[in-house]
Amino acid sequence: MRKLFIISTALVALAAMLCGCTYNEQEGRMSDKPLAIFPDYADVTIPANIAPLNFRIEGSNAKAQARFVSGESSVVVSSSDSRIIIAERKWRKIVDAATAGDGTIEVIVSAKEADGWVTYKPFTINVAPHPIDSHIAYRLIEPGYESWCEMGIYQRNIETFEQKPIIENSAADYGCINCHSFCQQNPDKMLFHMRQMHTGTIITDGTKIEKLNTTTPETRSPLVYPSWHPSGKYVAFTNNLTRLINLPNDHNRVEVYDGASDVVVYDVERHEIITSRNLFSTKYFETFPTFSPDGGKLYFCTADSVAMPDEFKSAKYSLCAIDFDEETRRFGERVDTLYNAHTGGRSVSFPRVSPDGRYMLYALADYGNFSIWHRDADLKMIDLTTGNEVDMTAANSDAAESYHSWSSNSRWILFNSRRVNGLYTHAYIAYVDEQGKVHKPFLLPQRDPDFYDRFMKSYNIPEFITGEVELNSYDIAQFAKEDKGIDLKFKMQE
Amino acid sequence: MKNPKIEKYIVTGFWAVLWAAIMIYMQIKHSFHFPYIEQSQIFLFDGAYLSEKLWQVAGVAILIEEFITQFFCIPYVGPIFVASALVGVGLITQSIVKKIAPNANAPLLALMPVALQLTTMVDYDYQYSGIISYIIAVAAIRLYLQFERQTTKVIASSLLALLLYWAAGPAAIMFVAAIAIYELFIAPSKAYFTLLPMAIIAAAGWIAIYYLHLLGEVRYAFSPDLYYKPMLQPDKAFYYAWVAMPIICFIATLLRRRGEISSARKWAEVAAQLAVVALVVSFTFKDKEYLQPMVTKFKELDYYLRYEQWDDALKLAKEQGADNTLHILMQNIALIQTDALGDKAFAYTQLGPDGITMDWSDNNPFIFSILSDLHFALGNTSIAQEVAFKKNSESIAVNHSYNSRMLKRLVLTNIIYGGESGYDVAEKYIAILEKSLFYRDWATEQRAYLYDKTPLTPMMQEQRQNMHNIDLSYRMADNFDVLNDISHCNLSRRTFEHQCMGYLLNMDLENFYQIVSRVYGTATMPTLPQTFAEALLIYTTLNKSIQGNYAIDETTQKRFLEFQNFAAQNYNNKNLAAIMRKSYGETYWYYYMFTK
Repeated sequence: MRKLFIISTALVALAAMLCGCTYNEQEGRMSDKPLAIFPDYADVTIPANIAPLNFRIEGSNAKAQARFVSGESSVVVSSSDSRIIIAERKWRKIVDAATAGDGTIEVIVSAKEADGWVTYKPFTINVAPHPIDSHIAYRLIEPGYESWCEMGIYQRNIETFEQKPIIENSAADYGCINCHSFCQQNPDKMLFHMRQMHTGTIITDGTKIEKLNTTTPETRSPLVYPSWHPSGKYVAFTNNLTRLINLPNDHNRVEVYDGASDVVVYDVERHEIITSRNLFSTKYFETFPTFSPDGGKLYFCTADSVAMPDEFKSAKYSLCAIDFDEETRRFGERVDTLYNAHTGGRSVSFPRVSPDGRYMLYALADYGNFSIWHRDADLKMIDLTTGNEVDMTAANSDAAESYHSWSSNSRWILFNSRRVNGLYTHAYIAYVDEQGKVHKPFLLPQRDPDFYDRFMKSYNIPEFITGEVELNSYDIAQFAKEDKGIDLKFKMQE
Repeated sequence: MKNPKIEKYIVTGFWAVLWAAIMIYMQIKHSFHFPYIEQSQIFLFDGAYLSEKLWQVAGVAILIEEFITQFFCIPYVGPIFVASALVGVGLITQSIVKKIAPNANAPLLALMPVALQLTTMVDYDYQYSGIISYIIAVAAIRLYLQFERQTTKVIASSLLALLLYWAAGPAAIMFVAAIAIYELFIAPSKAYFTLLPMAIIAAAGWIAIYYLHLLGEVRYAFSPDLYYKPMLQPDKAFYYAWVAMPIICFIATLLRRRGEISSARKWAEVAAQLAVVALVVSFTFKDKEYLQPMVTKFKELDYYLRYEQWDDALKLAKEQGADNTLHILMQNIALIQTDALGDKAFAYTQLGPDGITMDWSDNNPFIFSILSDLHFALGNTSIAQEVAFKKNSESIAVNHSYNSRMLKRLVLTNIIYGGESGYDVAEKYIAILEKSLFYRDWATEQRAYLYDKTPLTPMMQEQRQNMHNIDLSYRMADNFDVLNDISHCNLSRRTFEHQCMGYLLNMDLENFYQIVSRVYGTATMPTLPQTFAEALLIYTTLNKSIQGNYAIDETTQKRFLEFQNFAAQNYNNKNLAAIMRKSYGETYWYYYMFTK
């Protein structure tokens, strides 16, 4: 009995100590210095269903504390080393309070300095009324230089921190895996390419998997840069000759260019590649096709064919569109221009239309089409209902912004940026409200705020998906290794 | 041997001698192997790094391997580790045999796993997590033999199998195979319980592949391939040691009822078994590429380049010659670093342009660290960085770690590039190096150069200045007049001497002259290097018109005439090349005339 009493007393004391550690709110003098945190989550707008925005106080390794306040609710997170890691339960509590209230969370950060605790000026996290798709998919690869050792396409549940492989090249003899694409954010309808080893395009529909041999006598290389037709019956691709050159005395360091490129459309049911003279000409470089949400238009980028690599800086891509009839598989004869590189002076890549059809999002750089290596590359957006340009200042930075995708509800954009260090590409998410205003983006949250410091890979081609890809990566890899693939036919529109 | 105490001394002495023999062999023959493999991984004193390592199949073995490997940059540590690990395996195996069959008199059994793994220890594609896993597994077998009650055996074997699979990976299969064979002979009717640990390992492997995605292929989950560089398939001999342990247990169980034997017979048996071990050892030395002198020479040259011991590299190249273009490339890097390429290139073996500009279009990471050294020596920060990046990527893929040598190079090249982006990336790599034991001081020193806080070192400033010249060297093939725009510095001299040497090795005197005619007399080439003077004499002889005056000393001109006369007089002599080598082997004339 006495033993039991001693144990109970000790447990109560321990609990009191733990509670004290967690809830003993530290306040001190107000700091006159601005608070620097990484990732920069100050004044960002987030969806209610995002994982906790863990962060660290820059330039400090001391004890710290953050108080998250929304209306009457508040939670306190303490840290022994300046990393604010918020428990999932606490995060949900405060986000729910913000959702029910005015949509804001005030964050008050205190840190222990040499002369005692200091409190910084609070910052705000805004919670948007629109949710975000639960998952995203991306490829993780070392940035650039046309070589790799280990890579994979992964899916991340952004409501938590769980990441799973869709496929890793370690399961497929270390070939290249690239260009994953989903039909309207549907995790069940996906494709990606495998190169060098077990070459082919893997295309899935639920549990059905197919492997395609996309090189034909009429095309110059395997197909790349896919974009699904909303019906799921077609996929538009580029057929190109890509090369990389080193620029020893240039701030961009590397240039990736197409020596030639055309646009084709793959018919999923007939295993046939179709195209038209407007998309498949030697006079122009056509690339980066994408369908409109109603499937009636095919947008693409096009530049005058120039001598590569000598004239790589004069390759400037316009943004164009051509009609497409999914019933007859016919392309229109007229090509419309949304952005004219001849008059605009810059170069478009990666056009993507929002699923509600209202906005066209694309990257704009000084020249070329591989904008991720261009520090000058920024995101641009056109309101297709008015033709007006949308202000993207909040989303852009001095570093390269490039590949981007839309959430299924058209309220969130997911894009790549090199703003953290200029080399490694990270995934950012920005809110586009109903008025078309683009809000300050936030870096994909990680459990450990130091994660990006030691992570040596880039987030490549981030895409929203509405749920988890259920196919097991091992099964996909085994199929890719064993299947011989289906040969495609080529047909030019008369 | 009647006195057990003396017998114990002899056995202890034997293992001590064996330890010393292995250690000395490794130190004499393979001392450069250890720093060579040390560079491709860094042990970080960082919680996230440690937990990531532990959350792997064979996580404990990998962690121990990486912890120990970081000390391989210190002389003798590698050989001491290998000798200790192998003797450790032998001692535990001896204990297993003794436990099963006290009178076995079978040193062969204890020595077999040592003999079979001796050469593997210097295979650069082998990962030491293999030998560590082996030790853990044989220790588990020995521990298991302590248990006598059936229930204890069932629980212990199952728990050990699971723990082993996590800690040591597929080595757990060796453990289960060994105890299954042992149980089959000791108590055949009850041996079926060993199916349980087998099933546990099968399930653990499948979960690791299918659900946890820790392993990409079945062979990594259920074979020692996990301890070999991924992407490669080990030689058959690599598996023998793993098969040997269950066989050892089998033989030991056969010998378990053996009675006492006479001393004479005992020694005769020991001698016979040692002879077998010697045979096995000699067999393991056969056909191993990684034991070839050219490989050990490569590792030695690699060490000298890494630690900037240029004179040692040149001494080795001079004394032992170069076996292949990679050796020549390494020797030429030392010549560039000592600013002696133009004067002394032909005093060393040269086999053509590959020895100075190795083709790396196949992206073979093996040569990337050497290429990075070459281009850094030439002031080509761009390529030095690119190949360093690729080599580091290889370490990330193969070892899930970083390449310390290349990470240092990436720090330097990014500082040289400068600008916010360059400094940000350099800082990222510095922060990683600062978590290591041996590189943190160097890394912290580099922080001073970030964001222009401190002026760059002269070397860094020259590298930054020379980017312009590298750009010119890329463009000069179209129009050599771009060379009028050279930004002169010591590195510009190296850059264009290297270009000239490339043409000379390719016997392209026309393009060689195009450069020399534009840079001679400038700060980039104030005087003619000896081999260039020799080449110009040939160029003149070939009736090419030379504009301008080139200061070629009289001795060289006189010697060239002698060379021509001798060659003309002995033109029909089949041994002309051998005869002239003695007097002219170190000249460009000899290379031009006799090298195919």
